[in-house]
Amino acid sequence: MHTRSRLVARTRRPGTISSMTPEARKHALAMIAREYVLTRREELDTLGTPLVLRPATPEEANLSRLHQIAADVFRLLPDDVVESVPPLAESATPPSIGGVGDDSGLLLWVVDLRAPDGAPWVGFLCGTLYTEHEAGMTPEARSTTINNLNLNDAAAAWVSMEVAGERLMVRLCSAAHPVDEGLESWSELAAYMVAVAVAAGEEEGSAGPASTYLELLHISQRGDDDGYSETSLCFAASAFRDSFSEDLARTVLLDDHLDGVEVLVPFFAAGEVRALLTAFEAVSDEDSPTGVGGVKIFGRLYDNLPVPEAHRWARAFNGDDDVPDDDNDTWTQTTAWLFGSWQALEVSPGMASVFYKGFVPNPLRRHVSDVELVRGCVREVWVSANRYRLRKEFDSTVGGVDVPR
Amino acid sequence: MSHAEPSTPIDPNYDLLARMLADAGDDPVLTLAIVVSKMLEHGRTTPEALARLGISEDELFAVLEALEESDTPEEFNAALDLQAALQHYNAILVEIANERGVPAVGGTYVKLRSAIAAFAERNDVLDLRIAYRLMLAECPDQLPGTTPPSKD
Repeated sequence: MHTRSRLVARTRRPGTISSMTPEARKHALAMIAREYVLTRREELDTLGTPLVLRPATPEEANLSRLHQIAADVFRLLPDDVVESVPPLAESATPPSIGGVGDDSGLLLWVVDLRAPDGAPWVGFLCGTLYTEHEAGMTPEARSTTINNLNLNDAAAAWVSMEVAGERLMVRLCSAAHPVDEGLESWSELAAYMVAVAVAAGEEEGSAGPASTYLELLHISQRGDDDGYSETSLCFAASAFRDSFSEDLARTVLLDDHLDGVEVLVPFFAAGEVRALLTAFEAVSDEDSPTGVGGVKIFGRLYDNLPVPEAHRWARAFNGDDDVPDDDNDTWTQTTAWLFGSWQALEVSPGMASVFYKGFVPNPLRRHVSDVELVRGCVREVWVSANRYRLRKEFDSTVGGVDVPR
Repeated sequence: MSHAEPSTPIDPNYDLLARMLADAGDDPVLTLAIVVSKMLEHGRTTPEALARLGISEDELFAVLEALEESDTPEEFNAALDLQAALQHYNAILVEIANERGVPAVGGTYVKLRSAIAAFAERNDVLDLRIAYRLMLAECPDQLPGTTPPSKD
């Protein structure tokens, strides 16, 4: 009896619990390590806060400036590409200029925006319209079709949009920039977006003007040897981590991967937000949407969801008109230069993972610093994960509300 | 009819314990946790009564939480392992905080805990005492509180 009592006493002493697996210990360490960060989150909140822009009021609007901005963008493109762009007309609500091509199926819009502090911004939106997919489609079928299109397209987000009174599927890219900070670099980015959008509407293999222009652009930059690489990404990830205060930097983890780096940033009780960045070189890579090298980005929502819900969340993150949200009338800016979209992929019967697949082509390296590349990718994943988290918490409090609204 | 009331009288010659032990299969801990949980649910015991067996309310809550959050025996066992690891580390961190004159509540304590755990996680050291000693040697400035004089 005496021996048995001693045994019982020993097993109850903290520190001699023999059942702990290494995985459990590591998980416990990670939870404790995050505690301090979660008590002082200002820096992370700054990282994860999207910039919500509002359309300028008619009194504030400067439509002549929008015309000038559009002209500056078009001046960077060859004439035969600009000829494919629809003529831009002024629109009072919201203050913008834009147009939809009759034959080309191209949508182009330049919008006058204001930051929360009133600073003028310009938003640029271009898309390729696909009318043939829509006929007689149920909402569920449309949702599945849009998701499948996103799964097979690494360079843009497919969304459902109402264009000129018609609901259409649109392959969309957008970017916004503060007017006061100078638009030269941004104009080059916008011109690149226009060329990519025009090229998407050109018949495959036809060597249309935009496809030819992009190919020449990529060839001219291929010899520059200034593309993204595993080394540049690792350096950038380290610099990104070091940009935080010392306490917080210790909790931002970097994990080397083949040709890249995975960045793990603490994220509430759900664990962390992960963004995987891998550099790749070009033409032979079938995943390269424009035939040029760059960086691929993968991020993932921390929960797996039933397939229909996963589809809806992916479309909500992509800004799909069919999945309205609280900011429906605003322009939410996360990462201007990031091509890509959120998608749902079935990972087990009935359950899907919601993930982000994005792409930053090498030619954009002139416009985006390497550190900003890492920060922007993390922000893209963070903002969406946070939006999901807030909705989930709201629903668990109120109950019975559709997700997303 | 209350769930607490058996639907049929128990045969005094029927060995309920033997039956339960046989049914426990490969996971007697899970069976035991379910039995305790059901006894509490049906008012057949209380946390105070279980405390007399040496099961604290914290420990009891951890087991019930693990049960509630788990869909499979594997998840339950993983959750129990995690709880055990957390208790194990918490006890060590309280000891270290005491040694450094840091009260085991409040922001400074949380900062100390997180610093040691983050160092251990980053360097793949699963023993917090060893992680603490390494920090004292390599980066004592990251540790809030006062480093006690060496006993050597």
